[in-house]
Amino acid sequence: MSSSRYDRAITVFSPDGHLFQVEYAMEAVRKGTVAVGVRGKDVIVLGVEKKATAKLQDARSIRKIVKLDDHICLTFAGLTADSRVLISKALMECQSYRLTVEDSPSVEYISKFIAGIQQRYTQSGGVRPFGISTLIVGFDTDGTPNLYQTDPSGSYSSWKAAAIGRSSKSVGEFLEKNYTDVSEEESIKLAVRALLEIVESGNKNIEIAVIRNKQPIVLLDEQEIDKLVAVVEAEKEIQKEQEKSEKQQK
Amino acid sequence: MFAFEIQPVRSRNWEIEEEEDQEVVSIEIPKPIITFNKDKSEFDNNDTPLNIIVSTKGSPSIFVKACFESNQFDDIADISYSDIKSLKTNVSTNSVLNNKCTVYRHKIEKSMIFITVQYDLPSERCFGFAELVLNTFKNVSQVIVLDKLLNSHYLSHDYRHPIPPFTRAIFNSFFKNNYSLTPLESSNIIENLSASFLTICQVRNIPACSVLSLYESHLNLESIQSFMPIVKSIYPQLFNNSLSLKQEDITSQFKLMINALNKRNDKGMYM
Repeated sequence: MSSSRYDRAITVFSPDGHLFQVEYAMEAVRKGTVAVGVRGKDVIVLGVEKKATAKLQDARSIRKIVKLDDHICLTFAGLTADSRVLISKALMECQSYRLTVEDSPSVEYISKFIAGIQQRYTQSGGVRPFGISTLIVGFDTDGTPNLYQTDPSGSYSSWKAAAIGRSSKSVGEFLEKNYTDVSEEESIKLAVRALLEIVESGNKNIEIAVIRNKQPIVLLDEQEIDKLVAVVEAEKEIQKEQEKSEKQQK
Repeated sequence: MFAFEIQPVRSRNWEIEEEEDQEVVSIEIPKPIITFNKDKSEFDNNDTPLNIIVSTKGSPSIFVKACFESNQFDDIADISYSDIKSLKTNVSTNSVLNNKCTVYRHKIEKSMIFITVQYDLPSERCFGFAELVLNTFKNVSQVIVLDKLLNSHYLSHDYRHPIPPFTRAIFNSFFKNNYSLTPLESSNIIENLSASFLTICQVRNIPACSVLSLYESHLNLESIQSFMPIVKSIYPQLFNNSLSLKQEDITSQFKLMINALNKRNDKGMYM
């Protein structure tokens, strides 16, 4: 394959303009469990697939949703160790911003900061790109909800709903078909439905964080997730029955 | 701009270069050994036409083992190399990780031979492997190779990159494509076992086909299920006999084996 000449060094472009190490880093992102973000009118929902932990492993030590600041949350997909390094830099930057500017950082600011670090590691010799994509969510001081996605190339953009990690393409297509800019309850159900497209149902496999304006970030507990999953699956069944009867009528 | 390749720096002393060339020692490629569990004489003088299904490591072997291994196979032989060691697995579903190549015969459809290759076979050994199989099993009427294709290796003609389920096939001139198999587009190529079996079968006038299923770095159910309709259409008798498993049982086996493989590949690095 012609890529083999240009895929060893991060600082080398291929003749057709590819940076293969960055593209391989994006493959590493696809090895991580799926994470979904949905931006509603007055709520933002982050949903992640929880990785199955070994029997002897403490599940509480594996966290995929991380609080960067009182009003900003982050989730990621890809190499766990890379996420730890990037998250600590982001945490420091949030605190540094508060000390310097005496105000809370905006979601865009911190997303740009994280994306800037990721980009720097695509343009230096002797280093490799970060093998993670992140979803950064939160409310700005003016009450606007924001959802940003960054990826190993260092690009970042704002989204209404996004998915990263394994099967993110199918989940992304589901979000495109079903997204509407509606209420809190529908946004949470949309995130759960998107996850259930590829994750086996059950509270053990899903984690949901709900961020509301000027309120603490809430991680739903297992009973609440169970109820949500039951409601979503009941709605799915009803929809299936309706489609069946429509087909029979035709 | 790319009219020449930059050559590595070599000594200007041609005598030294000649000496260096003479020091090169050729290494013999290890040969495969087939060990039968029982008497192999029935295959030496076999008149019944045999159908061989070869499945490579990963999703193809998971498909074969999940569909048939639990109750429809007789374990008849192993194909091994001296430098490829098998791994002990404690759970039956983890047998996809045992690094062995096992030859099975279907209990009811005696003409069906399955070879599940669960080790990484380097390309230089594939031809020898294929020759051994076709020399051991006489009177082969058809060879099907179930193989896999990594999504990032698939060259698509437009910007839309496919996701599983996605299959392509490549077959030799003796194989009759009565199964609506979509041919693999150029400039994609096949390698290793697919290439060696198709080549040798073409020389020996045996119909052969390689079925490639697209898979992602994290293996999912669709990559494996995509083999089902193809194998069912080519050999429907495998799924319609008294020992055939129910679809739900097969799917649950798929899921267990996929989890075992993904857990092994994951190495705890990804979240």
